[in-house]
Amino acid sequence: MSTRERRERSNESDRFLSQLFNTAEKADGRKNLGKEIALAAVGGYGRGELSPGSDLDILFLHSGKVSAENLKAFVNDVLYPLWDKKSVDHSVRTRSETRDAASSDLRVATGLLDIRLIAGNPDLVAAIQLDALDFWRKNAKENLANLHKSLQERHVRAGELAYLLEPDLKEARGGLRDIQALRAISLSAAIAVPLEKISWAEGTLNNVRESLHIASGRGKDRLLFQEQDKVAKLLNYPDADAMMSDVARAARTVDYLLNYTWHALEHKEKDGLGRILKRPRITTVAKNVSASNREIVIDPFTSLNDDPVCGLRAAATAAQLGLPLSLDTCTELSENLKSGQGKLPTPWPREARELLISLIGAGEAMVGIFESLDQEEIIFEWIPEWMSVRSLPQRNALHRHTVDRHMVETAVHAAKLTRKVQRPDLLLFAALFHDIGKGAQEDHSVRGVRLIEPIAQRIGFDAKEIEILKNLVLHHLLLSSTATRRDLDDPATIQSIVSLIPDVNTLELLHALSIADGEATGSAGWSDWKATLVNDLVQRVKRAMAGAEFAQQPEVSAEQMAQAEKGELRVTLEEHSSGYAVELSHLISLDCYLLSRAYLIFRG
Amino acid sequence: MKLITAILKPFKLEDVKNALQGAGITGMTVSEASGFGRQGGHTEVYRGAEYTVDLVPKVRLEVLVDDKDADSVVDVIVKAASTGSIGDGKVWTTPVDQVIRVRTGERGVDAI
Repeated sequence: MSTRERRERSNESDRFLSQLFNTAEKADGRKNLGKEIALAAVGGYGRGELSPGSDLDILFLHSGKVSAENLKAFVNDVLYPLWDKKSVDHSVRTRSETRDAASSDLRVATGLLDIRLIAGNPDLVAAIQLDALDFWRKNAKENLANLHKSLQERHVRAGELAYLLEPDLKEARGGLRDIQALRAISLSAAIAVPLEKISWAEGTLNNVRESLHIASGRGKDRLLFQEQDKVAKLLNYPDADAMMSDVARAARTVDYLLNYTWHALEHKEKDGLGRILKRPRITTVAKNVSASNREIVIDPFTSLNDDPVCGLRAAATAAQLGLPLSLDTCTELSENLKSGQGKLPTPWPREARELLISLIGAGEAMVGIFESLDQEEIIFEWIPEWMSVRSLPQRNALHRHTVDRHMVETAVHAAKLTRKVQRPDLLLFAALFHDIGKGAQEDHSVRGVRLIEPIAQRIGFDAKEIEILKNLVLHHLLLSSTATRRDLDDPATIQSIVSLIPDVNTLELLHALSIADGEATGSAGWSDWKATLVNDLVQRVKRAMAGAEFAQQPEVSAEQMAQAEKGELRVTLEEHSSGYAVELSHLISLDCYLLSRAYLIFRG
Repeated sequence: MKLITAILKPFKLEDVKNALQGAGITGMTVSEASGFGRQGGHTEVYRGAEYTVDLVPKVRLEVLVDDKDADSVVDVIVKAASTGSIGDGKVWTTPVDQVIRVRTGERGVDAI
C-alpha cells in the first residue's frame, strides 16, 4: 500500500492500453490513423495513481479528420478487450469538443488538468493540456467560485471525513476530492497553496483507500465499520482506532488548508468592508497583534521572549473578532515555540490565563482558531496534555466527534451558558477538559481528575478553584445518569447528589457542564426529554441544599406505639417560640408502623 | 400476536428490562416519550415566573409477544415498574396481524 504500488498499477494499465491501441492501429485499412488519434488518461489515472478498484478515466482525442464509422470501430477495438477486466469511463472528443465540455462541466475541466498521454499523437494531448490550463487560469474567478459551490454541496451530502463513523474517503469533507480541489486551486495561480502541508494527509488517505479496495474486493470508497479492522490490519496499524485516528488527522489537515485557502482567496487585497486595496491595510487590534486582509497576524519583529503571551493574545483576539489566524503567523509562532522561545512561566501569568479563558469562551469562532492551533501544533506547546486526545476516535453511535473536537464543541456550547453560573471561567475551563481522561482503560472521569490538576495548577488556578474543577470533571456524567436512572421522588436520590456536590455554585456549574456536554454530543446523547429530567433533578437538589430538609423519621415512643396498636388519631396543640405547633399524629398499625406528623406555625 | 406498550418512569426502565430478560423476552423497542395522565404535570418556577410543565418525561417500551405469553409479560412489566406512587405509568396491549423479520423474511410467531 504505497504511492509506488499505485504508480505501478497505473504503469501496467498504460502498457496494456498502448498494446491495445497499437493492435487496433495495425488493423486493415487504418493507415496513418495513429497520427489522427491519441489516447490520454485523465483525473487520478492521469496523475498516475490507481487503486485496485479505481475506474480507468480515459479520453480518445481525434483530429476530426477520421470518419465517424472508422473512429467508432477503432475505439471499440481498444475497449472491447477491457470490458470484462476493468471498469472504464471513456469519452471521444476533438480539441474543440473538449474545450466546450470543459467550459460547461467543472469535473471535466478539473480532470483535464491532469491529462497525460498514453498512446498515439502526442501533439493532440499537448494542445489539450495547454487549453485546459489556459481556460482554468483565464476564468479562475468564475471557475473557483463554481468549484467552491460544488464543494459545499458535496460536503453537505457526504459529511465530514474526520468525524463520521463510516466516512467516504473520497467525497467527504477533508477527503481525496478536496485534495484534488486544492491542487486545482493551486494550478489556477490565483493564490499560492502550500500543498506540501498536505502531502502526509494525501499519502495516508490514498493508502487507506487502496487497502479498502483490496480488503473489500470492490471499488467503493466508503469505509464501512465492518471493513475497518481488515483495512487497519493490511496497513499494519495496531487496531482500527489507530487507523481512524490517522484518517481523522489527515482529513482535518486537508480541511484546514482548504478553509484557509478559501478565506485567503475571498479576502485577498481587500479590507474589512470588502473594498479592494492597493496595499493591505493593517489595523492594530491588541498589543503586538494586528488585523490585515481580514486575518489576525502577530506584528513583525515581535519577540516572543519579550512578550511570551502574544501567541495567546493573537488567538484570543482572533476568536473574539471571528477572524482566522494567518497561516504565516501560525507557522512562525509554531517554529518559535518549538525552538524554545516564549516559554510561559509556571504558573502562567494572569494575563495568559485570562486570554485562554477568553479564547475558550469566544463561542463558534473558537473552533476554527483551535483547529489552527492544533494543525500547527501550537496548542501542545501550551498544553502538552492535549496530545493524548488529539484526533482520538470514539467509535460509538453516541458521539459524532473525536474526543478533542468534542471538548472544543462542549466549550462552544458552554460559552452560551456562562451567564447562568457564578464562575464562567471555571465552566469554560472544565468544558474544554472534561474528557481529557479518555483514551485509557480506566474510567475517564477518574483519570481526568488526575490529569486536570497539573494543568489547572500550571495555568494558575488556586487550590480552591482546582478543587471545584476536579469535582466537575469527576462528576460530569453524574446528573444525567442519575436523572435518567434513579427515582427523583426518592429523597435518597437527592441526598446522594447532595453528599457529592459541596454547594449550589458547584451544582450550577455541573448543570451547565452537563447541558453543554450533552448538546455537543448530539441528538443521540441529549434531547429535551433528558434536559427536562436533569433540570428537575437540579431543582430538587437545589431545594434540598437551600435547607428545605426532608422530614426525618421521628422516634416513636412507647406511648405512641400503644396508640398505634389501637389505631387512634391524636391532635395536640402546643406553644411554640413563634406561635403554636399543631401535631396531628395518625398511627396506623399494619405490618409496620407509620407515623405522620405535621407542624403548622401560626404567626400572630 | 400482541404488541405490549408500556409507559414507564424513566428510572424504572432498567428494572423492567432486567425483569423482561429474566422472563425470556429478548427484544424490545425503547423510546423517549413525554406526556401526562392523572399525575397532570406540575408547576415550576423559572426566573421568577411560574409556569406549568404539562408534559412529564417518560419512557415508552414496546414488546411483541405471542398471544399466550401476553398476560404473563404484562404482569412482569407491571410488577417491575410499580413504585406505588402517582405517575407510575400504563401498560396496554394491542392485537397484531402480522410480524415479519426483515433479514430472513420469517413470518408470524417465528419472527418474534
